[in-house]
Amino acid sequence: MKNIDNLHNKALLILSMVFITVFSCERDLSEDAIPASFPTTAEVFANNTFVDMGSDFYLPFANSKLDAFSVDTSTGYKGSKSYRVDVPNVDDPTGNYAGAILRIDGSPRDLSNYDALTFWAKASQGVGDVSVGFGLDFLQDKHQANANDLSIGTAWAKYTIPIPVASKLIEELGVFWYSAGTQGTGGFAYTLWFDEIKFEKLGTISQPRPFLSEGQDLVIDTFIGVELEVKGLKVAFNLTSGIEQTLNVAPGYYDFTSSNPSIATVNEFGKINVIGTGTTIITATLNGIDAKGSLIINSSGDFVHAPTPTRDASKVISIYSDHYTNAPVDFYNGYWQPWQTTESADFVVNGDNVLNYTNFNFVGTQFANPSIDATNYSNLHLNMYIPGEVPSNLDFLISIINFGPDGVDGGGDDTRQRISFKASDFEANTWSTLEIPITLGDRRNMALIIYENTNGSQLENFYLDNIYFYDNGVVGPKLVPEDAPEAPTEDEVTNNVISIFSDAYTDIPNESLNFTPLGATLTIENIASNNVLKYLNLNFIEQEFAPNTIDASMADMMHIDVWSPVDNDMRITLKDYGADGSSFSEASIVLEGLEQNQWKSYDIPLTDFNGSPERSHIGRIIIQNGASTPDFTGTLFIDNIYFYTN
Amino acid sequence: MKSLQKIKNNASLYSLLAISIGCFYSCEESVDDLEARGTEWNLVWSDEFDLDGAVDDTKWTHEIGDGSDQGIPGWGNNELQSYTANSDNSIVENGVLKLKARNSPYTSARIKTQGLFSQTYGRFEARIKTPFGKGIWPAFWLLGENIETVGWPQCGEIDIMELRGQEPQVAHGSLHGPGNYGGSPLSRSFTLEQDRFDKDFHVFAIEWGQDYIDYFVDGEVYQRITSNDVGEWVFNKPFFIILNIAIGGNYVGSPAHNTYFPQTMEVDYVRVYKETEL
Repeated sequence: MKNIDNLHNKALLILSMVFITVFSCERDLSEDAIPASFPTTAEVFANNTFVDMGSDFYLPFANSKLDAFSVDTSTGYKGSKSYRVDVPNVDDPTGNYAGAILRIDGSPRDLSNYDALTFWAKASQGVGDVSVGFGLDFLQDKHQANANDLSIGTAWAKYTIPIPVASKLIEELGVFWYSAGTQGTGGFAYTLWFDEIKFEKLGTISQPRPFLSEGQDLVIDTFIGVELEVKGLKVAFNLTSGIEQTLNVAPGYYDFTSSNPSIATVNEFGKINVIGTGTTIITATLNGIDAKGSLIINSSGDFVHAPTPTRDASKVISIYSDHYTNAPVDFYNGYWQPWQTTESADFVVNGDNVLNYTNFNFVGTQFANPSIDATNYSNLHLNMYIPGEVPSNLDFLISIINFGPDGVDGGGDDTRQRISFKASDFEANTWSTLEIPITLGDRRNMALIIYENTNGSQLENFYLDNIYFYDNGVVGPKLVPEDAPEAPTEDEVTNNVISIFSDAYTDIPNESLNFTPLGATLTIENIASNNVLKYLNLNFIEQEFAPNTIDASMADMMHIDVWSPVDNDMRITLKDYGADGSSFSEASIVLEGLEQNQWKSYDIPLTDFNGSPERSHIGRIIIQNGASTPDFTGTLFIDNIYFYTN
Repeated sequence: MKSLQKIKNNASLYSLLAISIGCFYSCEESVDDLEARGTEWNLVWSDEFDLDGAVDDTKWTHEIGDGSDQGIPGWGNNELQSYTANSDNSIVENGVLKLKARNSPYTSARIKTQGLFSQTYGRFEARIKTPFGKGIWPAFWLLGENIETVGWPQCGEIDIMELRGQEPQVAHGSLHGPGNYGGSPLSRSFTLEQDRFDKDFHVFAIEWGQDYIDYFVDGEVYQRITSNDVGEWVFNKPFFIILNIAIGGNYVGSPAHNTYFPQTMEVDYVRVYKETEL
C-alpha cells in the first residue's frame, strides 16, 4: 500500500503542474494552425514541467520499483527541475529495477514532423546499458523504438534516439520510456536525471541501416500451422557526433515480404503463419531500404503433436501443457548469464504451444512464486522431440530442484534430483515420453527444472511439451513408514551387541547422529510405538562418536534396518580413528536397491566391507544416499543400527 | 612534425591535406558579406562518369599503396589505408564514380589527374555525396604540378572539400603553401543546418584567379582567400586534381569499433572551367 500512496501523491503533484501547461500549449496550437489530425506537441518534460501529458501518464513496468520516479525540484539541466529516477538496489523487495512508460493521458500526438527523441541526462555514477525509447504504450506497442546501450555519465549530456520512420508516427501515445537496473553497478542503487525530453527535427540523423534477424540469415525448421514472429529487428543510425546509434525497433516500422506466400504469410506486425510445405524467405524493408538479414522458413509439413495426456487433472500439477491448467511459472528460459547460450524459439502450432530450445547448452524453468508442493506426486512427465538427428553421444541431464524450507534458490537447504538420458532414450523426429520417478524426500518446495547438455554432446535443438507432476497412484513413494521394523533378536550380552540406535538395546553415547549435515535434518519419530531415525534431505550424513570411539573388534556383523521411499542404493562407510585417534582408515559397502516403501533388514558381515575394516576405534559411520558421490538427496528412515557377534 | 619534416626533405613527394588540426578557429569573420564575382566560365575539362566500369585512365591515374614507396608510410598523416586500383575500391556505376573505403584490412582509393590534366586558375567543381563515420576522411583537392621538383608545401595545396566523417554536416575548405601548413593553414568550415553532406549530393567548388581563391558549397561563397592573406602566393601555376578517401590519421583519428564499412564517396561529376575571354 505504501507504494500506491506514494504514487498517488506524485500523480497529484504532477497533475497540478500539467494543468498549467495544458492551457498554454492549447493556445499555441490554435495560433499555429498546424494542419494535422493530432497535436504536434514536441515536449514531454521541458521547462520544469510535463507538457500535455494529462494526469495518469506514469505507468511503471511490472516488477519494477513502482515509486522510483519523482520530479527533482532542485536539479535540472534547464531550469531547476528534472525527471528523476532512483534506481533501487538489486535486493530491494519493492522492485529491483526502475522502468516506466510515459503514455499521454489524452489526445495522441502527430510526431511525423520530427526525426528524433532527444533528452539531456546524467547519473549519480556512470552507468551503461540504460534503455530509453518511445512508442511503448502497453496497447499495441506498434512503434516501439529504443536504445538499450546508453552510457550515461555524471555530467549533463544530450542523447538522441532517432525515429526509424517518422511518417508512421501520426497518432502516438507512448512518448517516452526507460528501464535501468544495477547490472553495471554491482547491484547498488543510483540516480538518473532526465530533462528537456522532447521530439526534435534535427535533420542531422542519417544512414539508416535496418536489420532483420540481427542481420543474419536465420533458418527455422518448422511445420504447417506454426505461428512465428520476426525477430532481431534493429536499425543503426549515424549521428553527427560520430556515434553509431543502434535501436531495437518494433515490426510496425517495417514492410515484410514472404518470397513464397503459399508456404508462409507475414503480416504488418511481423507475424508469420506457416501454411504449406517447402521453403520461403522472409525479408523486410524499412522506409524502402532493404534490411540486412532474413528469416528462412523450412516447413516440413504437418506437425506431429505430442501425445495427448490422459491423466486425470486432479492428479496432475502442470508446468507446461495445453491440456491442463498450468501452475504459475516464473520463466521457461532464465537466460542465465554469462554462460547460457540456449535461446527460446517456442511456437504455437494449431493451437498447441510447444517449447523449443535452440543453441542449447543448458536452460532452466522456474516456478518458485509460489513453489509447488509435490509431496503427493510420484513422477515428473515430459514429452521431448529432437528434430533432425539424435546425437550419438547425447547426454541429457534433467535436474529437479526443491528450494527447501526457505523457498528460495540457494540458501543451503536446496535439494536436487538428477536424471540422465542417453541417445537410446530418444528417436529423432518423434515425441519421446519421459516418466521420471521422483526420489526427492522433501518435495514441498519444488521450484526449478534444469535441462543440461553434459559431456559435450551435440544436441542443439529440441522441443518439450506436457511437463507435469503426477501421482501414478500405484507405486508412488510414501513419505513415512506406517509400521516398525521387526524387532532385533540378538541377545545384548551373548552377541556382544554395540548399539548405535535401537529401542531393543542400550545405545552407546554419540557426539551427533547428524554431524556435518549437508542440508539434512534428523528427527526421531515414534512410529508404531517404536523410535526411528528420520533423515530428510539426506545426501550424506555422519554419525560421529569421537572423542569416544567404538571398539567393535569382537563383532563380526553389522545390523541396520532401512526404510526408503525409493529403491535407491545406499552406502555405509566405517571410519576408524586408530589407537592414536588420528590414524584414519575407511571401509564401506553399498546396499543396492533398497526396498521401496518398506523396512528392510540388513545383517552385513563386516568382512563384506571393502578392505575388511579396522574396527577397534570406530569414530564415525557415514551414511550416503546413492552408491557414488551422493547421487541424490532424499528421505531415509533408519533403525536398529548395531554391531554384534554372530 | 616528424612526418612533415620527411615531406619537406623529399622533393619528389607530397603530402595529403597536410596536418591541419585545430585550425578552424581562425576564420571567424562573417561569410554573409561574400558575394560571387559573377565571372563567366567556359567548361574545358570534365569527367561526367557516364561510362560504367573502371575509372577512365585517360583522365585519372591511381595512387597505390600506403605511402611507403614514397617514403611517407601513412601518407605523412598516420593514415591507415592502403590505396588500390581494384574495383572493390573504385568503380563507375550508374553514372557515378564510387570510391570505397573498406576495413580488414583498410583499403581505399585515391585518383588524380597528375600528368594527364592540370590548369592554372579557373573554376574547379565536383558534385559529391560524402561518406560518414568516425575516422573517415574524404577529400576533393588540388596540388601544384611542380611538387616533383619543389616539394610540399612549396608546390601549394588547395583543399576544395574535406570532411571528418564524425562531423558529416561540416565541410572544410583550406589552403596550404609555404608558411601555411601544419598548424597554420588558411581554412574555413561550412556547416549545413539540419542536414549533412552524406544524405545527398552537394556541389563543392573553388573559383581561382590571379590573386584570389573563392570557396563554394552549393553556389554559396563561404571563404575568400587573397594573395594578401599569405606571405608567398604560389597559386599561379598549374594544379592537378585529386579525389580520395583516407581512413584514420591525424586529421580524423582512428575509426571507432562500430564505424560502418564500406564507406563510399559518390562523385557525380568533376568539371573544370576557364574564365571566358571578353
